[in-house]
Amino acid sequence: MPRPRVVLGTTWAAALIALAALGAPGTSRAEEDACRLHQPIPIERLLRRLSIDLRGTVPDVAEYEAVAGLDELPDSVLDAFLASDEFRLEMRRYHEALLWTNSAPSLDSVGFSLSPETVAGNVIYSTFGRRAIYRGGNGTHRCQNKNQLTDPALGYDANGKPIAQDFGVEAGKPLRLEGWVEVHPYWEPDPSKTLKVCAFEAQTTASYTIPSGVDAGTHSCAHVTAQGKSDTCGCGPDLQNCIIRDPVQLAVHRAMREQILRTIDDSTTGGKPYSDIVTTKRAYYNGTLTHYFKHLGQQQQVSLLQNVWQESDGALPELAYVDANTWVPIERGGVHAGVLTLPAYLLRFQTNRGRANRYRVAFEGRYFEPPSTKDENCMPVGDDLTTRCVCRGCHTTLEPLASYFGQFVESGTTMLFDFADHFTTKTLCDRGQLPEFPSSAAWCSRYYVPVADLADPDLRNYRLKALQYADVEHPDVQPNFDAGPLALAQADIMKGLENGKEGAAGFHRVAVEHLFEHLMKRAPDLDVTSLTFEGDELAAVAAAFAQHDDLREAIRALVKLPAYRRAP
Amino acid sequence: MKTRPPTRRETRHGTSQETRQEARSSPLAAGLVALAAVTLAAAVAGCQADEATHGGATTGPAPWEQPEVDAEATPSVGPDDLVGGDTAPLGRSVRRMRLDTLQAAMSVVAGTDLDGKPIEWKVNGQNGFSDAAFGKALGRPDYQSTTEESGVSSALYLKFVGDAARDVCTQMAKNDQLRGDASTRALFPKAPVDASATEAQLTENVQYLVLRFLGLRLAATDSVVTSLVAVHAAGEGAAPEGGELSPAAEGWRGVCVTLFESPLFHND
Repeated sequence: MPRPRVVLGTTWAAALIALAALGAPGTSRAEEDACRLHQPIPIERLLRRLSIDLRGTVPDVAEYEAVAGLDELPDSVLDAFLASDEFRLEMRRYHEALLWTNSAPSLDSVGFSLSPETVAGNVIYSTFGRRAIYRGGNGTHRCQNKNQLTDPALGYDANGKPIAQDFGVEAGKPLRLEGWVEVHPYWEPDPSKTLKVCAFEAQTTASYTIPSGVDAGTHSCAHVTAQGKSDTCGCGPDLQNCIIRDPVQLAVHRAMREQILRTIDDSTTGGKPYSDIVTTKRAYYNGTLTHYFKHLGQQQQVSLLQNVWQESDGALPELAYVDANTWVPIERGGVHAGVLTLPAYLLRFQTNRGRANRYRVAFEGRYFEPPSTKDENCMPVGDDLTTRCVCRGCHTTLEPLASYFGQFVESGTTMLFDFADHFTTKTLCDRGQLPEFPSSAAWCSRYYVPVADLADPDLRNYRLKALQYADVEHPDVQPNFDAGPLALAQADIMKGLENGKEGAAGFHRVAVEHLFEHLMKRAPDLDVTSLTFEGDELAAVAAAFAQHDDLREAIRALVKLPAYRRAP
Repeated sequence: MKTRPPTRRETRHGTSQETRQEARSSPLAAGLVALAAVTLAAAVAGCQADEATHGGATTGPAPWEQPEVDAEATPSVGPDDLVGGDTAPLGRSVRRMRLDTLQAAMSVVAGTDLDGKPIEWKVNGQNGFSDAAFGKALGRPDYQSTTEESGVSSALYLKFVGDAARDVCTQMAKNDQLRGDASTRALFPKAPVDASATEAQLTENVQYLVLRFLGLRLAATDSVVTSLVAVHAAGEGAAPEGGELSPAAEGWRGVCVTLFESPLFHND
């Protein structure tokens, strides 16, 4: 029989109040005096909780119906959740929150960055940093809005260099302007699409020659040291040596993020040991990153980011820039260590102190705190932070830890494994790069710092910056520098294995504590005097985790703890 | 049924029954009170009726009326609800779901539209929870300027959840109205929306929705179910003449908004 329609103007609000006043579901008449705090939750709510934590969303009605009437959640449900692709994505989010690895630094500088300008309907690309050497004058001019190939006053000379029109003298220097040419850029998948690029920038010459002087010889155009040296060096074939913010820089940022997440995938759902996350030499490169590190990383001014690919970084795959969806694993050499030396980590934490501090938080579970008492018997001033008042409270720990990351340049990804530890003179330091590049005082001062000899201050070694304080007063710096982050990670991994259940600061114990906090939405109770002490349960999970090294098994153990299955 | 004298709070503010009476006289105020009350419901989690059971005492004045801790801190009996009994085992803490999860969960619950596209909160053509809309304002971390997502439901969060709930529920109701096969509906698969639904059908549909939204399997006599049936009736009664939704669909939209705004949807 149809129900009569209720028409009450105030019933709407009254009904809402009634619902609210009745409190949470589960408080039926028979149970209204029973507090549900800390009680085991119904199986549907447990399913929902697991689904949210492991899959990042709620179950659908069919999944609820599948567990109707069961007393316990079948292991097959948990297995399915842990095997799902959604779990992989959840673990990505979890590790991003742990590592904060969303770096977005500026990857260009005016020397090799192409910028568009609209001139009479034509969008013309040129660089800012090379205008002076290309066109003279006051160094601010781009090319003319003329086709270099069809304009009778322009064209190319016998050496293939663009012919430019003279425009007199400006700021005491002759001004000459060329036209534009149509070029297919490397970032454009459609080979028929072209851009209008100033002809000087569009040059494809591979090398240039310095006829005399200390740098006499032939040098590569595909390096930052070529900028400002010769007007015959351009962006190279398909503009390969130049960058554009949108879309290239954005794509490189995205690829760096994806690269570190793929390494995380390996250790969470890819079947690799979880500790591989901080030890593996394997890294994934797609076309975007390959192109960046082959052609663009070494173009950045030395005073800015230094992302110069080194031989010990491994062999880059043969991929074109547009192969963005093709990811190829490579084996890195040197002191590479899992996610800790991937660009996304090194560029998110650009100082070795920052890298060490994030490592300490994420994998050692420790945080620096300022001292609560007055610091005495210390140096009130000075550069050495391990002896300076107040500073030393953290820096006596932080500086040796930062030394582990010393073989990676600060503000950059360049690994210094292949670099000389020191040069004995400034001249040698300036010429310290590979012989195909000219000497550079800027390069020397970017990577090295003069350190006065203790016996004779007039003698100065040019040491890698991370070794500035490698002396008898700081005996940890040199061995930590030599060992690299891999040794740091391996030592933490071994702590758990050596100490078993007591591995309080071991890699696996800390990982279990972080996971516990993630799943329980609170820190574990580790107060041994507490009646609700949870340290033993965590130690058992961590001890097993140190043995099987399987993240999914650790999570399985944690979500089976009674605490996870209780109401708040 | 246990009885107790009125607490100081009740003396000051009146009983919940009195509050309801006041609410009838001011629909707007009542709505705000109701929203706040629903928001807080999970925190009390059904325990508001028995502050004495945890400590073991069942009678006597409410503890805050006669504090017995003197100024000299000499040993004395503490408030009933803070002493005695076993220490409760620790459970999981209460935190709201992350924005990523909320965005995904609302779409799972809302289902798809007639074209098979997931129903989601739309703001200027974007998903309202995405960073292109209000994701960053709601605190989704980018690990640059924001490195941590708060697990606390802020006023801003509640406001946007309300917006999202009304938008999504309207879409659900509109799409369901056009679905001839009741079994394919997301919001009212168990009850017709042509004013012919029986009490049993209404109850069954509410039970279905509570399961779909909150993951709770409740008895037909459960107070939440009966209260939501009343919400449906109120929404049905308040439906504007000639609106896009039928009065019954309007009622289910009200139930939908109530469930999306429930703390039990956001916390677990």
